[in-house]
Amino acid sequence: MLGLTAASAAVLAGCAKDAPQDTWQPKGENAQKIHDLQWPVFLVAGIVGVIVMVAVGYAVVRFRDKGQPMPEQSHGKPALEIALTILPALILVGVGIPTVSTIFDLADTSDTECIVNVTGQQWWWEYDYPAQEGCGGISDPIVTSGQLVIPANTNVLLRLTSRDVIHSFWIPALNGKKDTVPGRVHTLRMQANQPGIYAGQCTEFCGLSHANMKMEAVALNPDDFQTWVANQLESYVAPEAGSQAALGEAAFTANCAYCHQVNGLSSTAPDGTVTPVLANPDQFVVSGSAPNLTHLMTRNTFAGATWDLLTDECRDRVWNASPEEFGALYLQGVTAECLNAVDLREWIRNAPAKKPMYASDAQKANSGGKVRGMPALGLNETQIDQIIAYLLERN
Amino acid sequence: MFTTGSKLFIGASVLAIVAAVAFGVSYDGAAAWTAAIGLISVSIALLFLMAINFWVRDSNVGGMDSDATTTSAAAQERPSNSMWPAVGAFGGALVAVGLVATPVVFKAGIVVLLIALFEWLVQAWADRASSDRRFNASVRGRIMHPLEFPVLGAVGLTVIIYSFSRIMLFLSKESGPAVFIIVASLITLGGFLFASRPTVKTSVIAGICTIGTLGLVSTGAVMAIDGERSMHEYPTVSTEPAVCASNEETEVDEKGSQGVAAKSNVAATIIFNADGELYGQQVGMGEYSRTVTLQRSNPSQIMFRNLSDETVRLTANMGAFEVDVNGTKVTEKPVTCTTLVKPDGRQMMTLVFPKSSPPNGASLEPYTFVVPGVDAATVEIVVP
Amino acid sequence: MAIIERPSTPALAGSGAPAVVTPSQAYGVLKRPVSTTGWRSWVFTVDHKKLGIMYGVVAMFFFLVGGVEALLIRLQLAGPEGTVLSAGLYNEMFTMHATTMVFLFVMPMAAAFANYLVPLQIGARDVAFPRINAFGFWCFLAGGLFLNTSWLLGGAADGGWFMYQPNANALFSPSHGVDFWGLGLQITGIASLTGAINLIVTILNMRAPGMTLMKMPIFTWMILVIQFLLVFAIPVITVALFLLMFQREFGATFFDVSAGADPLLWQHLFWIFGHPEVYILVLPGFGIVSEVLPVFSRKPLFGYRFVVFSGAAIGFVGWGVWAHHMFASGLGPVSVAVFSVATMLIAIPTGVKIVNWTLTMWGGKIWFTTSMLFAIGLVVEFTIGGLSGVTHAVAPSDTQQTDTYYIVAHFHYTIFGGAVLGLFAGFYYWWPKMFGKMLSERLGKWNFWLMIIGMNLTFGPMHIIGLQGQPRRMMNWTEARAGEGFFNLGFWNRVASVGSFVIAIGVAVFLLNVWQTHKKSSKTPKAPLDPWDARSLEWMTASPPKEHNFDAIPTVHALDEFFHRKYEVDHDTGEVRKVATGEEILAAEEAKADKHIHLPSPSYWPIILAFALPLMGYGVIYNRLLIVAGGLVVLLAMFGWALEPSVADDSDYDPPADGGGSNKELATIG
Repeated sequence: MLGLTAASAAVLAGCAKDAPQDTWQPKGENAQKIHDLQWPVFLVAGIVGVIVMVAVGYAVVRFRDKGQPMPEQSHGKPALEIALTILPALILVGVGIPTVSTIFDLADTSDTECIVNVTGQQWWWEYDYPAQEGCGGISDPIVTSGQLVIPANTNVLLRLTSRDVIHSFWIPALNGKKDTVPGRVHTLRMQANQPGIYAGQCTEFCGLSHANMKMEAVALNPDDFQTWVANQLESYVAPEAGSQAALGEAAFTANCAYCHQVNGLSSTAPDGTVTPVLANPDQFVVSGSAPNLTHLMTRNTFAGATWDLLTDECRDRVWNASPEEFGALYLQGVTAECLNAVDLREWIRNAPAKKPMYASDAQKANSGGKVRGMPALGLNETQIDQIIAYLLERN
Repeated sequence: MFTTGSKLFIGASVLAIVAAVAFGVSYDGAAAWTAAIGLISVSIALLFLMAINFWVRDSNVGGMDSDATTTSAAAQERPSNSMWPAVGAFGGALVAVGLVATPVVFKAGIVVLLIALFEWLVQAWADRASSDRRFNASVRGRIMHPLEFPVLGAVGLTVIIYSFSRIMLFLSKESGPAVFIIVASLITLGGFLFASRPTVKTSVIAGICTIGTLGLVSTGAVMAIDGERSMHEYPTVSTEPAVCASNEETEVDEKGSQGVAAKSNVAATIIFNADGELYGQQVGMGEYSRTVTLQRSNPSQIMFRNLSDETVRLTANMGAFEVDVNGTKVTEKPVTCTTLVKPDGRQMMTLVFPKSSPPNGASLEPYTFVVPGVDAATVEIVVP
Repeated sequence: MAIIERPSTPALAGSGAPAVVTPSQAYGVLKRPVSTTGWRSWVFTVDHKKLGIMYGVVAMFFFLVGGVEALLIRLQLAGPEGTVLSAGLYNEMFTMHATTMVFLFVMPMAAAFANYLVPLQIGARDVAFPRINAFGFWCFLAGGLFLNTSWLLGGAADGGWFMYQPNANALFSPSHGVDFWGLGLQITGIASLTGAINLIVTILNMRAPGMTLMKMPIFTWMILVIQFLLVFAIPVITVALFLLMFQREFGATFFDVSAGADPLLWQHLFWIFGHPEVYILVLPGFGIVSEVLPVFSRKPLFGYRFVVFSGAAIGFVGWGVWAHHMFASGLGPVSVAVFSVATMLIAIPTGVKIVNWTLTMWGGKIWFTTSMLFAIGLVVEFTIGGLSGVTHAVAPSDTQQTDTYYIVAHFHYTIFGGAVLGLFAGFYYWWPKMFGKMLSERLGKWNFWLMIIGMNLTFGPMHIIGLQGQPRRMMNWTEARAGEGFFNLGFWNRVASVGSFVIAIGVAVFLLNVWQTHKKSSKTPKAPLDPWDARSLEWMTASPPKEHNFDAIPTVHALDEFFHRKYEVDHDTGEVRKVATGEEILAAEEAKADKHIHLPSPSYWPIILAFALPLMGYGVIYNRLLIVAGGLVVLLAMFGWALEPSVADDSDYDPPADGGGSNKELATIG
């Protein structure tokens, strides 16, 4: 079976219709290194497997009881034994040397040009870009979630950590996985050969909604990446007064802004003083964090990248775009006609019903009154409409 | 079912209860209470004795046997030697001394008395099990050894461990390990010698072990009386604003307890160099940075290295927040600092930032690392 | 005629002899349980054979429990967005599936075989410490039941069987499941530890005269290696579980990052236990096939010494590879490289075993019994598992594969293909020995083919699913990430789910086989004494063996002693001639029956002591007073145990009805 798998996988590798998390289709330098190391190992393992099975099969057929006399009571041939011990040892030496060199090669992060801090928490990923010269220059820190946006053809350094339990960051097409452990910072080098979107999934069991902790890496041409950065740093544009979105802003401030930060959002008191609205997730959430929604509609997913903000049709268009077209398509973000309002509505209406989380009052009692995940807010349909209208402008 | 002896005690305890009730009905006040409690205690004691009698079947063997003349308790030899009367007397003496001197001795006396009482009971019972003294001894051993050996073993071990710990606590930090190594080597060597000379008499081994144990225990006792070496735990990290803002000398325990695991992965190393400059190093984020980026709501392990010639501390100013305390707004400035670090020294601290740094946090001031007393030494902390 | 001697003294004879009042009489209350029939003869037994059978029955029960858990998991994953189980229940299910299969099925089932067979294989009458043996079994049962009561008391453990910190902390796993898990494993750990010491002492001290270590049956050898692994591995998990208990129940901070701790400490502790544990699971299967293959190939085990030493080598190297479970956890390249190479090293002794098994069959005269089929199945399936293991010994490759279904495929090929197939080979091979009845070969072959096809259908596609990037422990998978074409996750997940039910039918056929064999016990024929023309000592006694195993302790002259008594080898021509039948050899042995045979007597205390432990466990979780209560029972039981002589006294037997002498049962021999 293994041999078959290995052989057929090798033959069919490159077939574009395979699952997006296929580990045999590297799309970046690091994953390519792993792949170059692993396919010969699979091949050798397959060959050895076939040899063993042929030998067993031959012995079973050839030496079945056909009424032959009792066989010789031999206890073995030490020379043969030793030879058959040394042979696999030699094969393993052959495997071991490139393994060790690849381990050190992959661990080297001195050639990276761009830094992204990646923080896991139950059950979503936060990416923050420190102000830096790298990545083509980022003047102020950027905080985003769900989709990791990186410049293509650039060695990006991910600095991984966690706010609660151990998670594991894995974009199979770009590199192997690395655990994110609270209190530790692990590094992982990322590089994508071409612009495109690459699927990933948290792979260290992290509790109730482990299955719903996905992520996507988006690689953009350096120019497109600069456009993206500029867009992320754009200042807040308040909705037009009296519009649905303006009502949504009020509803958002009243219901969502306790945890979710929207940079630049402010509230005006009756006496006319304007105070910035600042989220305090540390008072409500165990991990002390909730996704920053300043530019929600520039990303295509929500709720731990479990659901798409794009309708299926628009999503397919982005995912299947050629590397040349991809950047422009992605930078369009989520437009009104492409918005997947169905899942988003369900989510805002009752998040724990859609994604299992510890957010009910009874469950909060076990964690000092704080939630893990988003609670049901008890909003009415009008409010939900308003909030969606407001969020749709967060691009 | 009930033996004669136990019936006697049952009767007596019933009488005691009846008497208690009678007292309770006919008198009132404190006297009635005292009498009732006394009589009920008596009744409980009697029931306990009844239980013993019942359990050991009146110590009567084959009371109904025809050949009781040879087997009954009466026909047996005199009881075997016993140490329990002496131990009991000693216990009594301890109680008496304890009453005058100190409660500890009194309690010890009670314990010794109870032990003696129990052992005496069991031995007396065993002595009557049969007319064969060897068998009687084995009966006693069978019931008491499972209790005596573990208890004595535990007591012995406790004494030895306690004595040894007193010795280690008395010795200075430097000589402690040396003494430990010497004692351990001696024990290993002794064990090795015994093992290589199987013909050595048991008594010799026992003698040496006894001397060793006595030496250990007596040394331990002397050192326990003399007292421990002075030990004082100095905190490695302070959150006192007054301490963190100053550069005054405080006590420093260079080997003070620090999270070992913290060193395994530092989020940032902050270095104070000979030119009086402070800068940060983070994995992959450049060598000499005046800003460090740390995550929010996440313990970050910070290592401070002092490469200057002065003794300094690192202070993390974690912003300023307006807090509502009973209706009045108060500005809180959380701060954390290391102890003073000597030249070429290093020190860990764990920081958690619940809120982002400005502009998105509620903080009124930026977050910074500073070295108190050195104006230019500032590294900005960015918490996105 | 000889008599199984129970010590006897003249009861209160007259004359001048001192009247003897024995302790058990003197204490008045409890008589020793001495019945040889009825439920008491099982509950209070210290007989290694009865305990072995009870281990087997209970382990089989837990196998079914774990199997149902597996089926529910596969039902959930049969289609996208499965809704059979809720997220919480799914997490509990896979946690308990692994825990049950590892700790409550494979380990105790191996203990069942070890208990039953080791004394028989080395020509002993029982294990060295029979009451401790009974205690071990009851601890296993008590721990297993305690663990599973969590289902009824607020939910089972939901942190995965590896129970990584901090996800298994009270904050992140608020139900009591993890507490039940930790304490339950603590109790079954006592069973493993006492059992290990018992078997080591038995094997090293109680071998029949003439049986040097190098003449010891290979199964016993593998069991010896496993017991040493257990003696060193169980204390590690014990410590880890205590840390976990203190962390959850008493506010300790062993894994608390903000208190300066590192959660990776737990991973190291768990896997230093966990990796040797893998060999603990698989070596019994290796031992069994190393017995079965030679018998049905009519040839001695090829390279007996190599198999012994490779087993021991696996035991040693198995301690130096734990961190290969942590290649992705951020250890740093040096550690990863070292453990990667060490992991490759362990493939060598494992390969040696495969080679030796193949060469044992080579040149033989192979008889395809069900048992042999299972053994051949093991060689093939385990090879697949071993080779896929090599692919993730390559650490960079492992960072793509770890925590995906590829790993699930790998370890099911090693544990199902290595341990479970081996255990089934053992069932069919030793069933006539243990119960004196042959299992049906016809049903047996159905059983074999269903299980082998089922396992390849279930676990084979998991290689594909895993390499296609489906992670483990996810309560569902989505169509969006399933892909299309030949390797799409949807199709192969469905195949795996179908396969799991094929395995289930295979197991059901086995149960049917057992039921058919024993339902009309009196009608079905007795098994022949030596149905397989076997080679080792356990076949040199009646089937099922008598209470005292051997009438006379045999003297051993060769490896495969029984075979060499039946056959004569002409050293010049190499011709093998049969000179005696099993019946003749047994008759010769019975003629020399020992006059006095001491057997240990049954006891109440092991079961009382064992069942006091879960009481303390409930105490830790619910009410500290229960700990005291349980502790008192433990003390009482230990005291009673210490008081009790190893052999029951005359007076423990009821007075004879006819007023004659003692009615202690006189077992006749010969």
